[in-house]
Formats: sequence, structure tokens, C-alpha cells
Amino acid sequence: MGRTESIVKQSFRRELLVCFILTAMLPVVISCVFMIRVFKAKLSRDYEKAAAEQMENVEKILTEFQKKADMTLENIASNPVVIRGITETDSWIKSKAYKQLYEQTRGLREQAQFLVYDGEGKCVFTTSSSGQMSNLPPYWGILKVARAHSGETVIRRAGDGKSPSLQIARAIVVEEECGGFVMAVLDESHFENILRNAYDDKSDIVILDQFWEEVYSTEIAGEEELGQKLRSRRMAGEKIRQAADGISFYIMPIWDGGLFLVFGKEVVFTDDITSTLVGVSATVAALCMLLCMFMATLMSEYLTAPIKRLTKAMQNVQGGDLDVRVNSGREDELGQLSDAFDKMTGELKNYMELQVRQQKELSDSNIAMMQAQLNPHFLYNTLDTMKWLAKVNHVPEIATLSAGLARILRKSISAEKFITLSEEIKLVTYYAEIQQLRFNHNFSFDVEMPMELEDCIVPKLILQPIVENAILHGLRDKEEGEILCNIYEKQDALYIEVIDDGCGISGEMLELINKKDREALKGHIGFYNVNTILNLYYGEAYGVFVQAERGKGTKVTLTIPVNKEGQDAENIGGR
Amino acid sequence: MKKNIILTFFAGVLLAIGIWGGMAAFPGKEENGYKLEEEQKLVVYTSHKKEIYEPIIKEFEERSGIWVEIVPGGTNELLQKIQNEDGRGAGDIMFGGGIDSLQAYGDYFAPYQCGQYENLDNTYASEQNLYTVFSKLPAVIIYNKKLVISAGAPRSWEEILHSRWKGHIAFANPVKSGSSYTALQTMIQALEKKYGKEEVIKKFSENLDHDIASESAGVIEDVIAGRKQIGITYEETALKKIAAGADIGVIYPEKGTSAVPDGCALLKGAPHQENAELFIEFIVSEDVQRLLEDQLYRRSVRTDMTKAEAIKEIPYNLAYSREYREEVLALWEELNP
Repeated sequence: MGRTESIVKQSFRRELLVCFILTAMLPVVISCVFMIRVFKAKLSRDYEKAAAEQMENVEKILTEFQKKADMTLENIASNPVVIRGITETDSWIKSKAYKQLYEQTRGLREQAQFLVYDGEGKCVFTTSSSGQMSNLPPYWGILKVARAHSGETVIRRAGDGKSPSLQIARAIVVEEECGGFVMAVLDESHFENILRNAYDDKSDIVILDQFWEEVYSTEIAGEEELGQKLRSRRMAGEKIRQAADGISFYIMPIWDGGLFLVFGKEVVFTDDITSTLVGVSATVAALCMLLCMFMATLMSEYLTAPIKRLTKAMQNVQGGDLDVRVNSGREDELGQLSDAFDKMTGELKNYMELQVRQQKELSDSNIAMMQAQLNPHFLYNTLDTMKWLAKVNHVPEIATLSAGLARILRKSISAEKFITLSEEIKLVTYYAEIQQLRFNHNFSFDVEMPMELEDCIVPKLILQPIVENAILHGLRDKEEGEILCNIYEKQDALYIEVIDDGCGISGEMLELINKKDREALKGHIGFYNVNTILNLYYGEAYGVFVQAERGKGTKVTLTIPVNKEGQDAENIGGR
Repeated sequence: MKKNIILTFFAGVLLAIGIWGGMAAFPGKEENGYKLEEEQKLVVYTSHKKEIYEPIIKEFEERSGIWVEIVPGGTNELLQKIQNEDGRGAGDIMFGGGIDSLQAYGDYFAPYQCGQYENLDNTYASEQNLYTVFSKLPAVIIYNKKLVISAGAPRSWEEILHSRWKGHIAFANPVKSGSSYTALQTMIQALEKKYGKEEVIKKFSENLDHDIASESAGVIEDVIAGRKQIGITYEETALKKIAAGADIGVIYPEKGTSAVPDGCALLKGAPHQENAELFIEFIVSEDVQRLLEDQLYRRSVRTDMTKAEAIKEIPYNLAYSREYREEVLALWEELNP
């Protein structure tokens, strides 16, 4: 069960199929069963009604016959001529008695054989055409009963099992003594005559005595031994009617309970009809099933196609292709889902492009910086050598130059990207000393930095390009210049101002610088690079700002978020 | 979960329709009105022929209102069945079978002394009342009237041994036929004093000339058809055939013949014991016994009834018959291979 369920649940199509089958098949099956049942019940009821009518008819005929026979027997039993004829040996009187017998039994002789016995059970008269007379023991069977119940008509089943008959008898009372018996015997042919046209040929009739032994049965019922079957069922305490019976029958007592009439009808709802009905139902169900499968396939196709496309598109996206678009063209929920997906991949693509561009820009700056570090170890060692040579030869300027240069160089080739502000200031100071020697000490370089900011972490060598600009461009034509590096903290941001009192920057140029246009700043790559580094590390809110006034000087401000040493430098870099 | 609820609902609907439809198809009318109470029933095992048991049982039903279920079969077959059931079967009574057979299965019968005991011929009555006698079956000699004149027919058992009848006697194999064995024993018991047991068998076998009928019904047929001149069979069989027009004569041996009765026994553990007792009373009643003689060619076991033709009976020693059964039959088979 669980496995089936999981198999069904794996596929939208199977789920749909199951749903379709459930909703379509159940009503069909229910209505088919319902229909067959109703049909069966209705047919059975109609049939039962028809059977009941026929049965009533048969019962009426038999009861009428009983009354007639009763009356006839009574008439014969009280007929003085017949009574006289019993004991008489005179053939004249005997034939008169015979005449009376025939007279009385007129119209009934087709339906029964009439006999007259004397008190000892000797047969005296018979209406049988064969004229055969057999005696009956008066102490036995019907004659004994008739004698005991004189004045009444009594009945008894007679004959052997194969050709049973029914005896109806009455004692003839002569002077309050039993002087003989008059009896009617009904065998098979007599019953046939009585019941002719009383029932149709699809009916079977069995007449049982009060011990349910067969008195008469029609052909088919006789072949099926219905009478014996019923008796043995009743004896065994089984159900009288059983489902397996080929005949459905009804039983009613007749003749004041002395006999039982069994009226059988061939089973109307045969297996054949049932199987036809079931066959039709099964065909309808099969057609329904086909339709269900067809519709389920269509429906699931309609529903799952966009989902499949979406899944495929998502796989493409996973593989890195952000140009995938679903374009379902539908307006339902699935269409909305597809559109949302399209929009999402678009946004994702834009974001990725931005990321790539930023990465590329960072790489460009790095390349530029690395190119500037060409063979740094050789340079550094050479400078070191120069320093020692200068010291040996007592040329302190050269020693200072080479030592400063060496320190700057060392920092610039080291792998670390961030250094403390104090170190940065030191590097700039070295640089300024070198430039002072180069330009014959025609400018001063001062730093104002609160002690508490010494530990601030900054990207390395960001001040050098700015100071370089101030020396090379700002103080280019000045005899005596001044460069002040002023550092302070304001609202969690570190402000580093590099102020010179040089020529300033033309308004046009200033605009270009503050626009941070890379193309326009060719030759002023220093500003641009520093700005880019700060932007990349700390975002657009931070960077380089230039204020200048022509002829009076320039103020370049670098803004950096305050980060004390000990904080994770990578965090800053990873921003 | 929801699906389950829906499924359950549909299943419920289907079930309801099924039940409703089933009820509509078979309306249960008049089913209970025909229930029979156990007190109304009796189960009779009978080895009698249909022509004997049918009128008697029908009359019993009519007079008592008891429904009788008949289980017909051969004597040995039914006794075997009774032995196998050992008091747990459906049967109430064993109706039929020679009293020697009934005595042999006495362990499975309950004693019952019939109320009309005093009026019955108790020559062969059971000491423990394990059975009640029903009818007497004298063994007789029959002859074909066309082949043997009445005066020339054998008058006694002894005459049968005369060589004049060699090859002309119809007799059934006593190994297979119980009645034939009874007849052979009758002959032995009648003539033993004069000849001795073995000699009787030898002489008789010689006279049969190795031509022996395989079943008892063959005896009378052989005599009627003239294949044999005389035969030995039960009186009942002979009288029935004579009534049907057969041209044969019956001889009751002058010095007497055996008339071993058959009987009726109440089974141990009978479910309907009272009805079975009623049945036993009924079959020895005057009416039934009269019918036996009037219509069924049997002899009554009642002593208070005037018989049509009294016969001389010789006592048949049941114990002797049982005791030497093996020996007699062994000798018989040896003489008539």
C-alpha cells in the first residue's frame, strides 16, 4: 500500500489519473450495481406477483375440486341405492347401484376414479374403465381413518414412491354402523385433468401431503425430485428455499392443511441475464476508464508542461546560464509563476554582471600596483647595499634616501593589504624625506594625528599617491611649500586631510577629479586608484574628496571607517 | 487522509446498496413456519425392502404425527454404520436384520422391553431385551409344478439329500447369503443326530453338484424358469412369487422347519428415543402384524393372532449356528471350491 502510494505520489500524472478514476469510476460502478439490484428486485417482484396470481388460481381450482368431491362422496355415501348395492348379490340391484354411482360422479370421472368398498374393505364398485378391483385392509390406512371419522371426508397419500396417488374417502354409515366406504382416487393423469390450463408452461406444481410426501408433481419438478428435496430440507432443519435452486417456489397449505401446494417458477433472474447486465456494466466501466485515462493524460500534460519547462530552466540556471527565459505565454497561476521566474533570472543576471565588473576593476588596480612592484627584492637589496655604502663613505643623504626607499619598498611588496595608520604615516614620512632631498628641502611635511587614532587600520599606501600629487603638482612651482597631513575622527569615520598651499587645481580639473572619471584622470591615476580602493573596501560612502582654490592650495580628504587594530582585517577587506 | 474518508464513504454506499439489493432479491417469506421440533422426528435405519417399510412407516407417520427419516441399506452395511457411529449418529432405530445379526452387534443397542412382550412369540427373544422380534421367516422347499408332481416333491430335509435330486436343487451360496446359511444350519440341526454335521454338508454338497446360485434371489428364479426342479428359500419370497402368478409349489418340511425372526433394535444414544419406542410398539401391534400376513407374505410374531396356516417349527439354535459358522463355511468352501 505504502509502496503503491509512493509510486502514485511520484508523478503528477499518476496522481491525476487516480483522482480521475476515483471521481469518474465510483459513480459509474455505484450506479451499475444500483441499477442491477433495482432491476433484479423489480423483476423478481413482478414475477412473484404473476406467480402469486397463478398460484391463487391453482389453489382455487383445487379447492373447488375438493368441495365438489366432498359433496359427491357425501351424496354417494347417503345414496340408498348404492348402500343397498353393497350387500346385495342380485345383479339387477347391483347395476342400479352402478347407475347411481355413474350418475353422481358425472363430470368428475375425468378427474378421479371412484370406488365403493364394503365394511371389510372388499371393493364392490369402481368407475375404473379397466374394472380391476383390489381390496383394502379395513384396519389399515385410509379405511381405518374413514371409519374412525365417519361423517367426515378424509384424505391419504397412497401408492408407492414412483406413482403416488391421493385417496379421498368417506365411511358409509348404515344404522349407525360402518357399512362400507366410498373413495375417490386421484392419480397423476387425474391431477393433470384438474389442473389443465391453470398454469403456464414455465410453472411447476407439486402437491405434498401433510408429511411433505409427494402426491403429485409436474414433470420438471418430478425430475428434480423437488418434493423429496423439500421434505429432507424440512427434516434436516435447513432452509426450505435455497439460493442454488433452479426453481424458485412458493408453498401454501390447501385443503384445510391436509395438503401443501408447491408452486414453482423457473428462476427468472438467471445467471445468463445477470452476466449480460454485468457485462454491459463492465463495458461502460471500461469505456469510462479509457476516457479517464485519456483525460488524465491530456490534463496532466496541460498542467505539467510548464512545470517541466520551469524545471528544465532551473536546471540551466543551476548550470550557470542566466539567459534562460520560460515565456509561458499563459495567464493562469502557472503563467504567473513562469513570469516571476523570468524576472528573477533577469535580476540575478544583472547582479552577477555587477559583481563581475567590480571584481574586474579591483583586479585592474591590483595589476597596476603589482606592475609597480617590479622585481622589488632586487631593488630592495640594492637599496640596502647603497645605504651601507653611503654610511661607509660618509654620505648621509644617500643613506637616508636608500633607507627610506627601502622601507617604502618593503611595505609595498609585503603581502598584507592593511596596516595601522601610524605605519602608514611613517611610510609617507619616509617618502616626504626622499622628496625633500630630491627637491632640496623646499617644502615642509607635518603630520597632526591624535594618539588614539594610531591604531586605526587603513589600506596600505593610500596616502603616498595623494602626498605625491601634492608635491609634484601642488608645490611644483613653489619655492617654499607646506604640506600638512591632518587626521581626525568624526562620527565613527576617520578623516585624513592632506593640505598643501600650492597652486591648487583648476575648476575644470577639480570637477573631473571629483567625478572620478577614469578616462579623464589619465595621468592623475593616484586619486583614482585611492578612491577606487576605498570604494571597493568600504563602499561608495567613503573615498577621496578634493577641495581646491586656484593659487591658494588644495585639500584632499580621505574618509575611512574607524577600525582599530585587533579587529579582523579580513572583515574589512571582505566587505 | 481526506482521500481515505472519501473512499470509506463510497465503500459504505456500495455496501449499503449490496445489502439492500440482496434483501430485495430474496424476500424471506414463510421460512420459519415449517420448522420441525425434534420431538416430531425419528430416524430409522432399515434393511427391509421398500415394499415392506414404506406402508408401515407411512402408517406410523399418519397415526403418530412423527416425521420419519428413512436410511435404507443392507443389514451388514447398516450394522457397520451403527458400529462406526457408536451412539453418536443420527439414527434412532435399526429396523430389520436377522436376530442373529442384531445379537452380534448387541453392544450398540439399548435394551427395551416391548409393552406387548407377553403377546409375542419369545422363542428367540433377546435375554437383555436388546431387540424386539418383528416377523418370522420360515425356510421352505419350493418346487416347479411343471417338472415335479406334488406327490413327488420332497417332504422333508432328509429327502433333499436323496440322490434323486442330484443336480436339480437351486441353492444360494451360504458364504454370501445370510438366508442361505440359515437354511443350511436348519438342515444341519434337523439331521445332525442321524448323520452328523459334516456328513450332512457333504451329502448336500454332492447333491448340489457344484451348481450354486451366487445370490439368494437366483434360487427362485432358477426354479420358476425350470433350470432347477426344487429349491430352498424363505416362505415370503415364494408366496410373493406365487401371488404374482408363478407356477411353483411350497413345501413346509413335515418334521418342521426353522422360523428365525428378524427384529428391530433401539440404538444406544438415540436422539429420539421416545419416538423409537413408539415405533417398536407400533410394528408389533395387531394392525401391522395383520398386514404382514395379509399383504406382505410374512408370518406374525404375535401369539394371539389366528394364523392362516400353522406350520411345524423346529427350534433353531442360534448359539450353535454362531459357534460353528466359521467351521461350517470353511468345510463348505472346501467342498464347493
